[in-house]
Amino acid sequence: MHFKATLSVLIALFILLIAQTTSSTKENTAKHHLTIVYTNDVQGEIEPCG
Amino acid sequence: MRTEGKNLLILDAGNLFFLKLPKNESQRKDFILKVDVLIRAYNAMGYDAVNVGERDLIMGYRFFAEAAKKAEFAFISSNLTDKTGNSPPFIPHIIKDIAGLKVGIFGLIDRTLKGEDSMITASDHVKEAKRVVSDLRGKCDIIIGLSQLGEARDRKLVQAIPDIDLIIGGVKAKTIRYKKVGNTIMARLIPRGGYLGILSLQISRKGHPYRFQNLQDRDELLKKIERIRFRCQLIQDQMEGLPSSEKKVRQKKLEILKSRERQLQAKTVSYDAVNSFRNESIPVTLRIEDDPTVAQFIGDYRRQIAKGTRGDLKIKPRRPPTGLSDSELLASIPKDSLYRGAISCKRCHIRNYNAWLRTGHSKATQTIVESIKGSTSLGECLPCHTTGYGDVSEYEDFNEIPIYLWEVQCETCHGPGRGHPGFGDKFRRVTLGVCRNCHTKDQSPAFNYRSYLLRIGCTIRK
Repeated sequence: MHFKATLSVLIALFILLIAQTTSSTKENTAKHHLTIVYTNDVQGEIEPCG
Repeated sequence: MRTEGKNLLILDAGNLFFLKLPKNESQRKDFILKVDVLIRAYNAMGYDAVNVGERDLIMGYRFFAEAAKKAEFAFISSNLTDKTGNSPPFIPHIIKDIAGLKVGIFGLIDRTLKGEDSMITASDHVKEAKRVVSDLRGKCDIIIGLSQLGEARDRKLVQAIPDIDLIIGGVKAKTIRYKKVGNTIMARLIPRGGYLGILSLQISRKGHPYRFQNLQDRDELLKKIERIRFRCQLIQDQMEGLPSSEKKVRQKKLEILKSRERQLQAKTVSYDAVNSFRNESIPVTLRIEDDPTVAQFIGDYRRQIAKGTRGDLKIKPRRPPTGLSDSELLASIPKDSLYRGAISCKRCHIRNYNAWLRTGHSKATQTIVESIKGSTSLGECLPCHTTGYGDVSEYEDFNEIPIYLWEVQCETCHGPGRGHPGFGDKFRRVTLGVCRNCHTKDQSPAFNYRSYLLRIGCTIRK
């Protein structure tokens, strides 16, 4: 019983791993990757007071 | 990110330079130096475009035009017109060729430009945006609007012009989450530089409309599905060897879970979009190491300011010890003053007073005086680092602060103490709103009302 429970946890973890790999592969299949870094309303704030 | 070889586009939605008008000549000088630092820092960081905001113009158009000459990035505004006939320091839009995409960027300013300069005028933002977007649509794959219109008008704008793919907005943003209106992504951050926005676009198929799907939402669904599968596996495992009545109960549970899984799975199908995005807001904390070049600019700025004001700055002794006895301190308080100082409170509330001495509040003025940074931000920091600012006087310099108003004292939170104790006097209860006067979301992002209240020790009863 204990062995089976451990096995089922391992299977679930394996499925999770596969799903995550699929997810990251999906992101990598895109032709164009553009990263936009943005800010707004900095208002002269060079160093916050506190 | 640059070293990782990412295709970066660095943009600012405007209102870069100022929060408000300088109050005096020393603050004006401080602001001029700040503008110089900001432009040099933005040059060093490789900004591509900065929208012109209303607050960028509060020192006058001529000042702005002069400052903009030093910029290696483009100041853009599509609805601002220079009436002088000279070449303006901003352009209506830019087109960047990046990651195999042509990206058009335009900027909008509020039409009701306050304190409007005779040399400049702002025209109708919707009309100008329509014109610029129709011009860019034929030339660009992606169109980005940098806006200083505020969230409500940004929403109306993209409803009127759905060809805009992304709006990076500003003006009193209360949240840092993105929003989607139709197919347009709208992103903005809380003001005053506390956060950095990072929006990653993955495009497999060019062509409008992009129908970007949020990968973070899909990730959440996938996680839920995995959790359901895990639970199903456990239930199936437990079913073996159980009596048939128990098995039936588990079987029913299993069916419910499987049906939920199918529902979620169906939802993820809609996320199998060709184009997707991920938006993150990174808090700019001390944990993030300063860029050496930018840190050098800020160091130079501090030294310049220190040179100008530090010489006149007479640092008064910390309190306590003040060098003054309690009675001397009490005697220094003008009889007609609205504020009586923590030293007056001490006479009856000794435990609260002693607890206060151990808090950051009791060192609030001293802290900024001790750091060279303190001298750089006199006007900006004093309201929240002293007691009675604005009520007693709007002092601009440390020399002007009476010793009994140094630090953030009891009366800052509880209200001025004249007449206390007496009939009808009511000390203000410290509500969240009181704290939020200074612990704003941008200046104090980690603020938590309950835990901070405990830390300041005033909950200790006499």
